[in-house]
Order: sequence, then C-alpha cells, then structure tokens
Amino acid sequence: MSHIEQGGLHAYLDGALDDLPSGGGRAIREHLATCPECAMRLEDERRIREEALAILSGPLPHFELPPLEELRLRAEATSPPRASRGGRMHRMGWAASVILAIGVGYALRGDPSLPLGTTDAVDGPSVPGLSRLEGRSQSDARADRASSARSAAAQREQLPLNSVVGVSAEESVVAEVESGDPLVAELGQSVLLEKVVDLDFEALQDRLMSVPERAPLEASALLNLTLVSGTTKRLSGELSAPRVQAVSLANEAFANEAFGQEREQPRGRVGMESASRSAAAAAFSTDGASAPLRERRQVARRGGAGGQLVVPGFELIVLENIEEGPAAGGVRTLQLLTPVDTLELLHLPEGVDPADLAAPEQDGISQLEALRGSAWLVMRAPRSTQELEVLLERLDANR
Amino acid sequence: MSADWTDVYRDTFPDLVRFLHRKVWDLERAQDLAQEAFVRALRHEPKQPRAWLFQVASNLARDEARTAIRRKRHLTLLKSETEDRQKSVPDPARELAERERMGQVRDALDALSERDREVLLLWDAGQSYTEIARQAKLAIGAVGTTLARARRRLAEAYSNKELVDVAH
Repeated sequence: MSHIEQGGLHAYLDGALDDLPSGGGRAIREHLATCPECAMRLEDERRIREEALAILSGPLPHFELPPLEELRLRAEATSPPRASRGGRMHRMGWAASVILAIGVGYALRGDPSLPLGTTDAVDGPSVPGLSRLEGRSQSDARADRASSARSAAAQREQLPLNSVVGVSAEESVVAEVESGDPLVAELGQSVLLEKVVDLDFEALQDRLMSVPERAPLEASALLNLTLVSGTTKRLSGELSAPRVQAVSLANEAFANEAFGQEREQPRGRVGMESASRSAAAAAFSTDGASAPLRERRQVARRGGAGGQLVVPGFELIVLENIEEGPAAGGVRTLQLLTPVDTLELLHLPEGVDPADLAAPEQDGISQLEALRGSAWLVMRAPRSTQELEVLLERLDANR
Repeated sequence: MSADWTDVYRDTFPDLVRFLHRKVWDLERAQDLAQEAFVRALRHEPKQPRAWLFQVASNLARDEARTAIRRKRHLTLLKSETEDRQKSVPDPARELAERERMGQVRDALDALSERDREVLLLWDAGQSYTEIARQAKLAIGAVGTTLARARRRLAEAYSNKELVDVAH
C-alpha cells in the first residue's frame, strides 16, 4: 500500500476507520503498523487535530433544557390536520405543501403555440408591482419590462417562494424527503410532497441537466415544485434548466381535489412562511367560507377565444386543468404579482358563467370578468378592477 | 415512542445548540432554532432523528443567516445595549476574555470554506463520518480529507488572529 493520505490519518485519529468503505480502514491500520514515515505524519496530524479540538472546545454558555412536553405541545399545535377517511380535507389553516404535479394539462387548449411551452412567463422579466403599471400606456409598460429585466434577477432572489424544474419523459424525479426517504415520482403520477425538509436539489439539478434540451415537447412533463420554506429561497434564481416551466403551490384541500382522493396519504409537510401564506390563501378558492368581493366588473373584449393564458412578465406558479366544480373543463393559472400577491386567471369553458363560481376565500380580492369570444375569463387579485384591466390589456396585447 | 424521544432529546439537544451556536453566534437564537428543529421532528417523527435534526438545524441556521444579514446591525446594537443594562456580570474580566476568545474562534471558522466549516462543526457536534458524509453530500472517504484540511486551516487562522491581536 502507498502511504496514507491525510484524510485516512484523520479517520484513524477520529476512530472512524470502520466507517470507510471496502476494507479501507483495515488497510490503513496495517500500513500504520509497518510504516515509520506514516507513523510520524500521524503524530503531526494528531497535533493539528488537537489544536483544532482545543479551539472549538470553549464552553458553551449555560442554558436550560426546555421541557420536552412544551415542545410536544408546540408540535401538536402547529401540526396540520390529517385527511379524513373520505379524502376530503377539513377546513384548515394553511400548511405548506409541495406539489409535484407531473403532466399538467398543457395541451388542453390544443394550440401548441401557446406561450406556456416557453419559459417566458417564468423566466421573463418580472415586474415589481402592479402599481407601477397603473395609469400608464402599454408601451410604457413594455419599456418598463426592458428596464426591469435588468433587475429581474435581484428581485427574484427576494421571492419567498419559487422555483420549478422540468423533466423529460424518460426521467423520473427524485426528491429526497426528510433527508432519508427517497420519493420517486414517476411520470404521469401526481404526488403531493409534504414534510419536505431538505430537497436534494443538487441531485435533482444534475438530473435535469442530463435531460436532452431538444426532447420533444410532447414528451416533456412538468414538475411543479414549490417549497414553502427557506429552502426555496436557496433554489430561486439558481435554476436554469431549459425545461423550467411552472411552479405549483397548493394546500391539501386543493391537492386532494385536483389529484383525486385515491392518492397515497401525504408524506409530510413543512411549516409555511407567513409571506407565502397569504399568497396561497389568495391562490385557492375552494368551497366553503368565501369572502365578499372587493370589486367586481365585467368587460367585453374584442376578438375570439384562444388568447394568451397568462399575463406576460409575471412568474407563473400554477397551470392546471380545472377538473371539478362549475368551471370543470377550464384552465386555471396563478401568477405572482409580488412575492405575496397572486393573480388568478380562470379560463372558463364555453357556457359557464362567472356567476356560477364560488367567490374567493380571501377578503379584498377583486374580480374582473372578460368575455373573450364566447367564453369568459375571470381574473382575481387583491387589486382594484382598474388595475386588473391593465393586466387584461397586457394579456391581450400579446395575443 | 415517548421514551425514545426523551432520550433523543436529552442526548441531542445540547449538541444541537452547540452546533447552531457556532453558526448563528447567539445562544438564544441557537436554542430557538434547536427547539424549532425538535418541534418539527416531533411532528414528523423521522426514522433517524439525530441525523434528521442536524440536517434541519443546518437548514434553519442557513435561513437564519440570510435574514440575519439584513437586521444584523440593528440587532447587534440592541443586544449590546440590553446586555449592558441588564446583566450583572459576576466576573467581568473573565466574561470579556471569553467573549474575545469566541470572537477569535468565530473569525477562524469564517476563514474556512462553507463546506469545510459545516463538516468540522458536524464532527464537533458528535456526528459520525457516515452522518457527515450524508449531510454534506460527500463520499465517506472524503470526510477525513475535508476534516484534515478544515482543522489545519482553523488552527492556522486562529493562530494568525492571535498574532494580529497581540501585535495590536
């Protein structure tokens, strides 16, 4: 055996030889017994190790161990309710969820030129706040986009929730849950990941990077992934996978409804940051308690159906088919106006009237209803209807 | 399960606080974060609680560091004011010396790369090579090498700092 590397010497000093794979530990022991040179080096390393130990050995100031029972109560108090037998969720406070929604109904509109196959909505310049658009012409708004593109990266870093990755048809996605249980989402499955504490992001990105860039679009799937924890912040702005498409954020009630009641019991959950809580609360209007609309207005739009699905310039976080309720058959999108405010677009199927919809759950949401051709588009956001009209113009300008 | 958690708590909490303290350098925050990690653990009941707790603690500390940057200045001011007002220090000289030493340790640790520091602190908190490898996403064989480098740099940075301090 050649001489032992420093790492081996430290493993020896740390009593960690048995951790080393494939008999490496035994070889080190045997070599040390017969090699005076390595034995001398061992003494040098021992000295360094002891120095480091001494530096780190300072006493920790005294502290009290809080009663475990107290922590247990806190855990119970913040623990979200479980699904009932029937799969319906209780009304609940917002819990963080991560959704892997693979194969979101991209093709529903049947128009391959729709913008959702591009990364524009996700990677395009983000506009800081709706107020900036108020009372300004579209060309001004476009000029704003150009200037805001320069600062888009900086703004993105501030977003409390974010980040998406895409996968090819050949790939599975592996997310490491609880730093222990690997969870593999096969294509075609929709999996609600909760309790994600640490996503093995590097591994995930390696996989993404190995996906051929030119894989046929039909073969691609969407992996919608939202971590509503600090982890997410780390991810934002670091992803540049060519297939980045959408992020999805959901609460359990939504997930149950969207992905059916047969799916496996959730694997866990993480606590949701308050900033994302309001975004999420604004995002999903499920049945149950609904809040009065702040403002409501109807407008008729020129042109037929088949315009853009999303307002350019705002990060797309949800794109899904509406499968249940009066708007079943329509498409729903959700975009971030600011890190906490969302814009919801409901592209209703023909024959469905906006009046059939349940009102949003959250207070302070305005609703703008636009008849586009023979189908309605419903826009909802915590903004005035006037501001929503600006957004609608923006949507239609890119038709 | 209850009995197990009592043991895990008693054995791991102090190590966790120690680990976190060297990341956030604020004992109260370190305790808060350790508690938060435990609250999450109690909720999730991970199969390998100790490794899980360190992983979560590390993430919490990282997030903490990020938000702390913004309010650091303000907090530091506030904290030293309240400390000055509230604490009746039994041995001010000793307290001061210890604080100085802590500062030196902190500076020395700051001289390490993030990964080297993480590995060193995990080892210091009693994690095994296998656990460290997993958390730091290293091959097990690389843990010793990383530790060797981290220890050497720590010792160098610490003695350099001492020399500088003496010179002043």
